[in-house]
Amino acid sequence: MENTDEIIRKYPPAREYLLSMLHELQDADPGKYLTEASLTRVAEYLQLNKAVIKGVADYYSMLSQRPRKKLLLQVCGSLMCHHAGSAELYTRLRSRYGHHPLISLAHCECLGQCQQAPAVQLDQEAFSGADIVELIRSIDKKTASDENS
Amino acid sequence: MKTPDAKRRILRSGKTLWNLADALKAGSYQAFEKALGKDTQEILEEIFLSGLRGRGGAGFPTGTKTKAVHTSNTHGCSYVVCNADEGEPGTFKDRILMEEDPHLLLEGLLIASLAVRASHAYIYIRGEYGRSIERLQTAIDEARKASWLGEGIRGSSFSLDIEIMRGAGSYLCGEELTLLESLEGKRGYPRIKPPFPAEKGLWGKPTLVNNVETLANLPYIMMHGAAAYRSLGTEASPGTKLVCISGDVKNPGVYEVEMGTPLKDIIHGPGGGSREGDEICFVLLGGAAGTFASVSQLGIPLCYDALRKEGLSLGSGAIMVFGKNASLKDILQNILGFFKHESCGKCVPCRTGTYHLMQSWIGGCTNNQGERKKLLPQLVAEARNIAQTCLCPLGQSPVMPLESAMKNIIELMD
Repeated sequence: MENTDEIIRKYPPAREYLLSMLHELQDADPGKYLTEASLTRVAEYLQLNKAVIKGVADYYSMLSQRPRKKLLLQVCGSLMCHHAGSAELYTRLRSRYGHHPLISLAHCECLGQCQQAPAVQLDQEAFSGADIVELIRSIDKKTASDENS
Repeated sequence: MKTPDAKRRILRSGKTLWNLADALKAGSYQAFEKALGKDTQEILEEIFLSGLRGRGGAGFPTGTKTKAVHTSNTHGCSYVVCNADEGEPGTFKDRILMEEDPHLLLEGLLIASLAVRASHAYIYIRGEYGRSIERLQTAIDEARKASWLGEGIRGSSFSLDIEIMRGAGSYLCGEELTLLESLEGKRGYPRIKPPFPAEKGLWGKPTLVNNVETLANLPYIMMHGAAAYRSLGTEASPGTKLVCISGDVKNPGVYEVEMGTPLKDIIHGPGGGSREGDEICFVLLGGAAGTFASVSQLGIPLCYDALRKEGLSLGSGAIMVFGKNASLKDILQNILGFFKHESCGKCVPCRTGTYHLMQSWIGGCTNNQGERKKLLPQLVAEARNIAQTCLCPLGQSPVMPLESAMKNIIELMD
């Protein structure tokens, strides 16, 4: 795992790279969130007040300042997915993964997969239609091996 | 049914166009090479004469905008930004373009940057679009290696670097000025305009902000000229449009259609019409910030002005088709919930207004159908107030679905 400074120093010390830094720091963190320490380092590096950095991180829904579980499974709740039964899908997934130690389940807005609604997204990858069944199978397999390891 | 090749400007045939070698075989970068041999005025004039209009939703003439950036660029510093923050519900055309044919977008960016003498371009892309980001980054790396990007491209004096900037989950950042704020590493709060980005954009410099599909049109225009481009489409809306058909149709997907094609020909042609045993009851055009059309309105041609005349909108090109099982009550609740969630909170009318619209509708949903029909005009009046007093396009949006639902399909209220 790269440490905070290594990630930050990949970028020039310019504010335009703030979101990129925050994304990468969050992805690399074992708790999948932006720790106080990493936000402090970013603030020092960009020579900005830490409150400014936190204000930015607060605004964007993809950035978290609280620990999350290893995998983020999001169900699209936007129009087409809603119309295609995403609420029922969410309920089904919640009964399966609601208390899962490795999976955070959440709603999200349109994933741009409306041609095959309803859609879900696991971290950065979108799944829809019949792929969801396959996805559940692979999540179960993956998390079973992770829990055992 | 596929779009015949002769009517295609953007969607190119080819399965693996994301590879530079395959893209080059399909003709990538030839239009840019041609543009390199022209002077800036010629390029600007060609784009202007093509009549191309912004494909992100607003439909502003691209040539006029490009010329404005060129004129404002008196200090030799301007930027081109590709708006790839596709978040409008029901819209997925830009994602398909970026995943399937990223070099087409890069070529469009090269031509646009050449026209406004920018040496740095950004692609601001939705953080959720993992595969698009990956494919575009590979395409940029490959193009740089083959010296289609970088210093002194193809031995000319023109240099361009393209950087991908990842959004982080804010619908509002698809609005051009908010996008620029986000690109500068700030919260996604809208700026007051004027000044427009063409005058004062990124870091106060003249900036050309164009949608993915708009940029994807430029190679064709450069290669074949404005007149050829105008051979399809209508006088005021030339060319083709990518439409995203979704919902209760046989073949949902992205299709390229000629501007001016009647809506029903799109829904029944490439869209395949309604599914077995179902029928089309109403259509939502342009996404959540769009307008509802009744079945009797589907003879209207798909182009900016004809739709506007009917109080409808083309928007981003989303065509969401609803059949017998659709609940207008639920759909409106979903739309209002979306705006409430995405309101940034900077201005009061939108912050409290979108919340109140949502709460009123939920309250109304516990009543009977007749009450809901009476409630709708009240919400329209409130949404109009929000639209008149808010800061940015988000607050101006809820009135569109509400008003069109009231005018066009209120009898379908459940």
